[in-house]
Amino acid sequence: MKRIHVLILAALASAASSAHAEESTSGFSFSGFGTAAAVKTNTDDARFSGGPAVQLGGVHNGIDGAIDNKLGVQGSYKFNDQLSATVQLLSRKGGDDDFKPRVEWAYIKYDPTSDLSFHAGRIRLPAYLISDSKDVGYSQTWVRVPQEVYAQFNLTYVTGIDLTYRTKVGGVGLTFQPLFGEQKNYNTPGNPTPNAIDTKDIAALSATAEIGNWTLRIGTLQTKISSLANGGVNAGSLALSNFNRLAPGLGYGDLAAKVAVVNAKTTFSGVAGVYDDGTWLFQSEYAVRRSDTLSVNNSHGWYGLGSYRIGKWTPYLIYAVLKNENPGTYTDRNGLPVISATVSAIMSGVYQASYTDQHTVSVGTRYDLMKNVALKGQFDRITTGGPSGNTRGLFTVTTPAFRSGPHNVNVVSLLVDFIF
Amino acid sequence: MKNKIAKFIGMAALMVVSQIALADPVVVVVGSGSSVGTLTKDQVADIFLGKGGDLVPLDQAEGATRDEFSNKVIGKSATQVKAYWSKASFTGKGNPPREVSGSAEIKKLLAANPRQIGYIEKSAVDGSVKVVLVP
Repeated sequence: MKRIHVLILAALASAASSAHAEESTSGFSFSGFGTAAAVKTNTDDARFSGGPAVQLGGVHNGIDGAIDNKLGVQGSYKFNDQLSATVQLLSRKGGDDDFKPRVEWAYIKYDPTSDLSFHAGRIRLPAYLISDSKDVGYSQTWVRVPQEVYAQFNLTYVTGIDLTYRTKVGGVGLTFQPLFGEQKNYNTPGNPTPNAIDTKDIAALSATAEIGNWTLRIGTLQTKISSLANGGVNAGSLALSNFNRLAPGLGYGDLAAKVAVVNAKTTFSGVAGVYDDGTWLFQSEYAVRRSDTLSVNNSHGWYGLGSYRIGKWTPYLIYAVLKNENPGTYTDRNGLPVISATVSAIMSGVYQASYTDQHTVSVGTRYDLMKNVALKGQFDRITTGGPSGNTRGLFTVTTPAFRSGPHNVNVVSLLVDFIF
Repeated sequence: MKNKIAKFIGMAALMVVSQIALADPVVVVVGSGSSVGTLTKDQVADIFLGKGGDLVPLDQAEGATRDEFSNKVIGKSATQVKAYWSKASFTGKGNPPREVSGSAEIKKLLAANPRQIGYIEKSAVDGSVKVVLVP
């Protein structure tokens, strides 16, 4: 049955022989994007998940493109120059190893003037510079968005409303995008464990300034998150679950409350700069995550990209870093009185499990094969950080040997990005 | 003999000159009935990238004229512009301009709607259009 979904998508895709959706007064348009990939690492001690869409399966020392393979199709109906409706289906690997498509988007767009635009419905969350378009590989130079920044934020859509206002002040193009919404029972794509979360009271604002070849963007997103698994405790951690259950009886209910993921205020903020003169492209972004619950670690990351276009070739270099703030012991962070060594040990295990420090050096190239098709090759050298015994970086399914200290992992990716 | 060489050089020079003339530059136009005056390169680029302005852009089908317009006015290759629009259209920010096959069709549409703007080869300019930018 699930395979049939993929077949339907593929059939729809090939049926769309017409070119890209384009502006016309009214009517239906259909378009799509996709990626076919082959990815390999040089280790069997850990799996590479590619980042934002947590894929616990991941890829290791064997060729596998599943972390990047995807197909998106989008249908839009334009009622008139002001009003349109759009649905986007995205098929990518899920935790149960299938490519069952899900509705990424379903929204109504209303443009009262050429400077003002509203979206309402299931819309994408523009937390960071290209959070909303990270799956459209064709629109990007690199193979995939740097996970050091983009893995800090996993939510891709929300039910809500946003507004885009564009204006020009003395040659500077300014865009403001406020967004409000919530998302119940959101499941991180690719995560096989029941980790559904509720995100309430999402409020986001981004401001973008464009001056000649320069683009600067600042954005922030705030939400209250609640985990629906293990009674509000971060899924997948038995220690946390047990602690949460026993803590009140032991007199540590206040601490348990800080560990619980119940209406925990969490913010994602970032600043980004882009220089693009058509030949040279420089892009850098710094992003921070802050949460009131101890179960979501405070972290920050940044990357820098430089590329140079020579005809159809665009070779590039990327450097990316992710650092988690040292959570220390809970007493340092919360000012609670010293409690027993047992609880301390549990907490320190909890903290260390959330260490994902790493940095990556990447070199690659884009090659524009056809007008709708780009080939890309990228080599990543990832170095894991964090305290000894818990150096796992953003890798999943790690062995104790891998976690024993910093490791270097090489990843080779070859892929085809296309739009239609 | 000398004459022949001079003739040859003369012909070669003529050929070079005609080659240059053959590379027909692109100009940005609106219908002759439009109230739009001259525009800057940035203004035209903004219009064609959907970043504002009340004019509705008309794109040419893929080919030499579009490539030249992309490079000279927008300052990006036609492929980069395509990548730009793929990002915009799949994130709900807008759709690429309507694509029209050739300068004759552009002129016909501009004549019918003074709110539209397009680009054509300089040699195709006639009384039905008004040039607003020579890049």
